[in-house]
Amino acid sequence: MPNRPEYNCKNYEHPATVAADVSGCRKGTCHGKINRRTLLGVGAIGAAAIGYPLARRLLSVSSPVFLARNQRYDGALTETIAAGLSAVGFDSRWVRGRRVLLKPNLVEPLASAPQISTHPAVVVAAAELFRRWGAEVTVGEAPANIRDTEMALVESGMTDALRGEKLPFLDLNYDEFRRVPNAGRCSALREFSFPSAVLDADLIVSMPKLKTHHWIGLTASMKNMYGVLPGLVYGWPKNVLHYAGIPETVVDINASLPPRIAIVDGILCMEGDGPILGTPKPLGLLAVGMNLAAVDATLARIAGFDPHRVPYLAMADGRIGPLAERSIIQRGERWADVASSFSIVDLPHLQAMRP
Amino acid sequence: MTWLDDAVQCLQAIPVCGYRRKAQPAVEPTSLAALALLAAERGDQAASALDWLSDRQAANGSLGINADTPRPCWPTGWALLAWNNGVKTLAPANPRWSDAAHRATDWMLSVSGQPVHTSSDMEGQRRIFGHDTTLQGWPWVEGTHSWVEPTAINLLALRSAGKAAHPRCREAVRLLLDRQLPDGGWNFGNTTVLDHVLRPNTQSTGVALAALADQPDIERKAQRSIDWLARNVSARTTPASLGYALIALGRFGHWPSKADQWLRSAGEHVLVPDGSPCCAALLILAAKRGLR
Repeated sequence: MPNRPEYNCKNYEHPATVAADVSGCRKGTCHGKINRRTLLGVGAIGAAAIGYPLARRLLSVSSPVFLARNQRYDGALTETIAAGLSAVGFDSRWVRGRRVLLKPNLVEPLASAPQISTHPAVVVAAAELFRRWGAEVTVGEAPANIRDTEMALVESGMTDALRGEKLPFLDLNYDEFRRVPNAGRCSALREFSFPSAVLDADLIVSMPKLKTHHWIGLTASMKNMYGVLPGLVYGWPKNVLHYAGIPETVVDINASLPPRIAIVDGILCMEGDGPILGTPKPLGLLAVGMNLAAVDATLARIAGFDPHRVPYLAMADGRIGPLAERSIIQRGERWADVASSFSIVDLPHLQAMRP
Repeated sequence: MTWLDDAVQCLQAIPVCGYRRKAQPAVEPTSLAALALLAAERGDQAASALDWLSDRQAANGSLGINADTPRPCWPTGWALLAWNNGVKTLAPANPRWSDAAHRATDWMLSVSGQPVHTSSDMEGQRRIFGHDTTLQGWPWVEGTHSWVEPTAINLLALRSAGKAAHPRCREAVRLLLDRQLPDGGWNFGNTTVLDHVLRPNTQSTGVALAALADQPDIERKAQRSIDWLARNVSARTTPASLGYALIALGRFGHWPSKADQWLRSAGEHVLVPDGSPCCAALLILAAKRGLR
């Protein structure tokens, strides 16, 4: 393990929000005249310097990430996902008889804005594959901004898809939960309350939509894990996490959960003022990986970010997985061949995440 | 038997209930069940729910999520509303409920949302958050910022406790109006962020309007939200949102012509083996115009 500088959360200037949750614009762009102190002051960032208790062994090996281009929601997604999992070394025999939880992103779905939520076709394709391999598959989500989860399912089109496949859905906002220690310790939170179904899963599959995020740059497989925490304990929005620091808690949550892999819906993405009101960005991409930090770092490069300048990814480097290009083995397409810079809100903290 | 009879019967069988029929009992669903049973004149079953809530109250007057989770305490407002409705509706009322309501009221008045003062530049602050971050209201979780639904529920609860004129209630009304979206409706509690307008949702709008009903001159101040809600509620609206929407529209005298049909359909939808007691209770309250 090479020596690395000690990470201090204070090094990361970011506008994590405590009084505003995720949102976005209908049209237009921001004007960038916001008082800098105001912008930085809203992030209640934990100050503790932290070491590397986690994932050293993960970082000693390279992590493969599979990319497939020209994907469509009405295409052969099951086969693409199967090829991707095989390419990143996933042993399909391992899942037989095991509990697999698929976690899409349904933060605040709207039927007329399909760029907000993970498309049901991707979830159904993954479910079909894991069932084919003998797994017991459940879909679960805890939408952050609305208490009526059933409305989120209807608006995202997930209700019909789940019913068609007889896939059980767990409303993680209201499911029974248990407390576990915060294994990341980037934030001041000592523990997390996770739904029992999440803790009891043998494998969690993070299935985000690739989107820009006006506070933290971009949201993909790691930030998607915010959506396993129950609103009953964290609120709607999960303001407790905002107060504890968004980058810090993204890393902490990922450090504290059972094993996860990522299957990312990058077919129709979101750019601009994501993660709610941004505009559609067709990319035709499907990403698969066993290490969420490596997957998100690759997606950041594709979207025109320097992963080392995205605060939660920089914090994850050395704890959750590798960010460096040399440590990420490219399978399928090369990231540079599918790169397409995502537009972002014209704010200094976001522009600073560009290469 | 109508869907309403079935729904009432369902709650009569499990007045102490969780978020699903087979789930661990919790404070919010049990409070909603008590309110629905009171509205349906099922006093005995409502009383057992109110007693269970009394057993869950902490020494400081608050109630947590369920018996195992004493914090966060946002469900306290629901219990307070249920106890006060029980005291007013049932005779003789259990004196424990009055005592519990007094202690819950005191606790509620001691708690507030965390104001955000990040800068002396109030204009810049409003551009980021879109609302007055100094208004206290109530949070979901103590130590965090105020949001629409807990503020609305606690406003309803304190009004039921005869505290409508209390400064905290008056401030809660100001907060809710401040968080009203420019084109009508509410969401979780942000109007604009970074200058951009967010979208409303049905449940938050229903809860906020229900809490604001009876306020002086409120129709004028909230007309755009009443209109938004009336336009957006439909046969497609899911049961929880439908319940809140109809409770609110009923309070403002805008009962949709198809509301009974929607309620029947939603009632049949929630009355399944592992259905949601919360949704059943909300639909009963909407049908009985019962949430006050």
